[in-house]
Parts: sequence; structure tokens; C-alpha cells
Amino acid sequence: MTEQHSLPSIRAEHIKKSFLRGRKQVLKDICFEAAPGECIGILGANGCGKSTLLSILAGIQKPDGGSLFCQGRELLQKKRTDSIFPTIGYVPQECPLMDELNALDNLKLWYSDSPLSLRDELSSGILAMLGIPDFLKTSVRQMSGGMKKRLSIGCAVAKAPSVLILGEPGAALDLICKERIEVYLKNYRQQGNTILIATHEEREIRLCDRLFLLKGGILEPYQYDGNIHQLAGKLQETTARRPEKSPLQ
Amino acid sequence: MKFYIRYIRLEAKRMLLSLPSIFGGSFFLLLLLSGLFGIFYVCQTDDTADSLPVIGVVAPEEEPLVDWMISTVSQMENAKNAFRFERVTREDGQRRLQNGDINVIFEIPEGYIRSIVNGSNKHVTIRFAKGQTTIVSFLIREVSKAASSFILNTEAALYSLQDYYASHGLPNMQKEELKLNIQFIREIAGLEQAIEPDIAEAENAYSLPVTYTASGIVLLLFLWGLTCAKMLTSQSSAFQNQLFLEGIRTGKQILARGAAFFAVCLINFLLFLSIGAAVLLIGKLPAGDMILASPAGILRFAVGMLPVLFLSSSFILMIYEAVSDTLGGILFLFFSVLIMGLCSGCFYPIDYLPEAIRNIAGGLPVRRGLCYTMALLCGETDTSSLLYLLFDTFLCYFLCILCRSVKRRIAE
Repeated sequence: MTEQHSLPSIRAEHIKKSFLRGRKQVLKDICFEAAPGECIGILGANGCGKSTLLSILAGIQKPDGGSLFCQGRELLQKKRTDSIFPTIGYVPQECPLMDELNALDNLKLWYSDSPLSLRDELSSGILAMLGIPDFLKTSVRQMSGGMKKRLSIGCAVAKAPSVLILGEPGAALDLICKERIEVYLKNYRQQGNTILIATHEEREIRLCDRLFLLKGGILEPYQYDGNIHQLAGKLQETTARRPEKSPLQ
Repeated sequence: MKFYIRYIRLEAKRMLLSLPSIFGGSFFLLLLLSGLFGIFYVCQTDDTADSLPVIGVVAPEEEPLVDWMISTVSQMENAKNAFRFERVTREDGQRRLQNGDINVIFEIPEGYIRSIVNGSNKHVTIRFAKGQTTIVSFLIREVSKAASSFILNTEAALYSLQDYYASHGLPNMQKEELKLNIQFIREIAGLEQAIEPDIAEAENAYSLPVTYTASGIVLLLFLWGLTCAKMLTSQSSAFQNQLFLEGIRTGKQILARGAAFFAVCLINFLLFLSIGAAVLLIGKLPAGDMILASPAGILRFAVGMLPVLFLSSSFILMIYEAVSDTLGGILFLFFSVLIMGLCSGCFYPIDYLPEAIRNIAGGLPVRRGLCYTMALLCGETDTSSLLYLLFDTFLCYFLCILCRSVKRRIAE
């Protein structure tokens, strides 16, 4: 236990990823590590590659190069079915649910092969904390954005992962939902689990122990001092491009 | 495995929620198809129909055997119930052709029969109005087929006598022989009902009720995919990714969806069959030479239709995998099934189609389903069609997986 805790939960070394047969290099050299119980925030302008990085860390996309370790074990050489993989939970920015079914059906799917009991979690566990029992019978199609996000998190943690990766969890949610998710994430971290979060929200930035700025395909450490305008200016620098020609010209 | 089984069950549940709308839509389609094939059937079998295309025949009064040829040709299978022949004068024919009262005129030259015998082969002229090209090309082909088979047989009979004279060293009595033959044919022609064409059923040829029933069923199985667009449009890529993270790769995802959709199709099919069987058995409707006359036959038909259901469900799935847009998928499915139906002989006998299309039709899923269903309705098992059906089903699933993999790659 102690030996496992001394290892970083997740470590990325020289991760590279490009598209269009190498013409568009999104991730040039990504290196970072996260310790157990740590919350890491990844900041960056829209389209800078945050989602690509998260999907690589979650195991959905394969990088062009580099290594990825989870509790000291190399992940990229392994298949998804290997026992190491369930230790990573992923909540993408888009809704990863079955639209026509209700919350309970979706939960039944992800908890069908889980070490956790769905009934217990609904009565007093993670799902209760996220407020999911309030809308168990509601069809996903009729849910608000906040309900969907909370349900997505509830599904992602079904395998009791030690690393949770979230893509902009608070985007377009009301304050109550944000509060609920934040409370849950704090609780999750206190249990010694690691959180990786791509975000633009100040509340979530404050939740993070360390921040990285994804700029030009490289992760740069960033110290947030509470000045959101300074952060916005920094993000603007990352998007500085040549001015596009007006279509009227 | 537990997760995968749960996923299949939830996919089935998700699709079953749409069953009422699929059933309703399919019922509407069934009514449309029944009406369509009912009209086709009546048109094909009604002897009293007065809207048949009219073929005018212009021939000199003294030309022997023309009337007899017309009556014989019009009784042949190709032309029977399809055209009405009318002997007209050249001027009258021309006027009626221009007025649209006659679709086409066959003008037989003077001494036509004699030309066949002496080998000079005069040609029959065919006249038609400019706007009638489509129907006329169809008419000409069918009538020509019927007429040429008659003429060739007669010609062969006449020439055979010449060979007989030559082989036995007898003097060539061409003039006398012609006179004799014509007299002989005239004698036969003069006998009322002397020639009654005996239409022998060719091997693998099915009656019109069987053909149209099979066509209706097969087209319904393919076309009810139009009502499944909502539940078959691709799932969100985020959900697909989550399944992927659980070790459910693209192939297994497609298989799960295929199994769930097949289950829904099967339930829908059984509902329709139960209603159809009840109507047939309680109403004691004639089932002709089909196996649907008894409960045992209906049961055999239900089991036998499983391969066609496999194929139709996998084909529908493939279309919606290939075309992500709902409306695009509906249109693509409709037109692909319609074209396949036209080329497969669902609406009229496949023999009417050009050989090139007939060759292509052999490889179409609808044609294979049709051949198999026609055989099944007659209580036979078409093994080659069955194997093709299974092969096509696998091909459709393979293409589904390929489509999704390519889309996934593009999305990345």
C-alpha cells in the first residue's frame, strides 16, 4: 500500500500526437506526473489539444510517441482489458450516455461489472453524494446539462478508479450543480485518488493543487494568483495567430 | 462478459421502446405494398382490361396466314394479357397512331411469308409515335420474342423439307413444296382452336401470387428500416469511446447493436405474421400453392424466414452506420431498396429486364431474399440462396464495422 502510494498515480513522458499525417502537431512533448490525492488542472485555449491529451491519458487515442505510466506500470503497451485500466475513470466533455434510457438503466450498465454495489452507492455512496437518486427514472434525453454531467461522473467512477480524468466538468452548469460536483471531487481526492481536469472555470481552477498551461503542444507549469484577467491574457498569448484574411478582401 | 451482456440487453430495451412506432410505420408500409402489388396482380391477370396497349398490324389482304399468326402470337405467354392486336389499313393505322389510339404498328410487307420460305427475308416495319419510346421498346421486345419464336419454328419446318429432298436425291420441288406447306398450314390454321398453346411451367418459375407475396414480404422487411431511423442513427462518439475503454471494441459494439435490432425485427415480424395467419386461417382465405394454408406451414415459414430477417436487419444497420444523418439514411435506404426491388423482379418478371441488369440483380440482397422467400412459400428450400443470404449478412456486418472504424479514424 505504502509502496504504491509512493509512486505517482499517473506519469506522462514525452507524449506526442499529430494529425493530418504529421502536418498538424497538437502535442509536441507532454511531460508531467500526478501524485495520489493530487488534483491537476490543465488550462488552454479552445482547440489547443486539451481533449486530445485527456483522451490519450484515458486510453482512447494512441499517441505517436512517449510513455504513460499508471502506478508505475506502462499503459500504452497494454490492452484495455488488462486489469490496470479500470483504475482510470474518464468523464468526457460530451455526454457519454444512452439517450433513450433513464439514469438507472445507464447506471446498471456501468455498475454491472463493478466492485461497488449500485444499491449501496445510491443510498449512501458516491451516487447519493452526486444527487443522482433524485432523477433515477428520468430519461437522459429529458435531463438538464447538470444532471447529465453528474450521471456521467457517477458512471465513470463505477469501477472505483484511482485516477479520474474530467473534460470541462462545470461547463454550462448552474451553481448548484457545480457545487455538488465540487463537493464530490474534494471528497474523492481526500480518499487518496488523483484528479486530472481540463477546465476554463475559476471554481475548478481553485480546486486544483497544480496547474499546467497547454501552449504550443507543451505543458508549462502555471501559478494562479487569483487574477483571472492575467490568466485570460496568458491564454490569449497561446492563441495568437496570424490574422486571417477577411473573406471580403 | 457480464458488462457486454448487460449492454446487449440495454440496447434491446432501447430499441424495444421504439417498437410501437416501428409497428405502426410497418403497418402503413404493408398497406402501401399490398395496394401496389394488388394493382400489379390485377393488371397482369385481368383478361377484360381494356387499357392494354394496342398493336396495329398492317398487311396486304392477300398475304396468307397473317390473321392466324396474330391470333397465335397473341396467345403466347409473352404477349398474352399484355397487348391487344388489331388489323388496320395503312392510312387508318397512321391516323390512329398520331392520335395515340394505337401504340405501335407492325407493317408486314407483301409476300412476307413467301420471303421467309425462299430466304429473301423481307423485313417487318415497326412504326411508333415519338413520345412512346419507352413503352414501345418494351412492346417490341416482347412481341418480337413471341413472333420470332413462331416464325423461326415455321421457317425451320419449311426448310427441313428441302434438306429431306437433298438427302434423298429428290428433285427440288420448291414451288410445289411452298404451295404444299402453305396449304398445310392454312389447313391447320383453318381449324378452330387447332392450336392451343400449352404453357409449361419452367423450372424455378413461380406463380404470380407467390411472386407478389414474396416480393411484398421481402420489400416490407427491408423498407421497415425507414421507421427505425431514430433508434439506429449512430450513438455519440463519447459513448462509443466509453464502451471502448471497457474493452468493447467496434466489432463487438456493432454485433451488440445487430443482435438487439434483430430481436426487435423478429418481434415485429412475428406480430405481423400472427395477424396475417389469423386473417388467413379464420377468414379461410385461399393460399393457392403456398405453404401458408395450414398452421404447420405458417410455423415453417416463420422459422424459414430467419435468414432473410438476418440479412434485412444487417442491411438496414449498415445503411444507418454508413450515413450518419437521419434524413440522409432514410432517403438512402428508400432509394437503394427501391432500385434493388426494380432490378430484382419484385414488380414485374425479371425476364423482362435486360441481361446486364439480370446479371447484376443476382448479387443484390433483395433478389437473393426474393428467390429464397419464393421457394420457401412453395415449401422448398433454396440452399444456394440460403448460403448467399448468410454470406450477404456477414458482408453487411463487415461493412458496418468498416464504416464505424473509418468514421472513428476520421474523427480522431
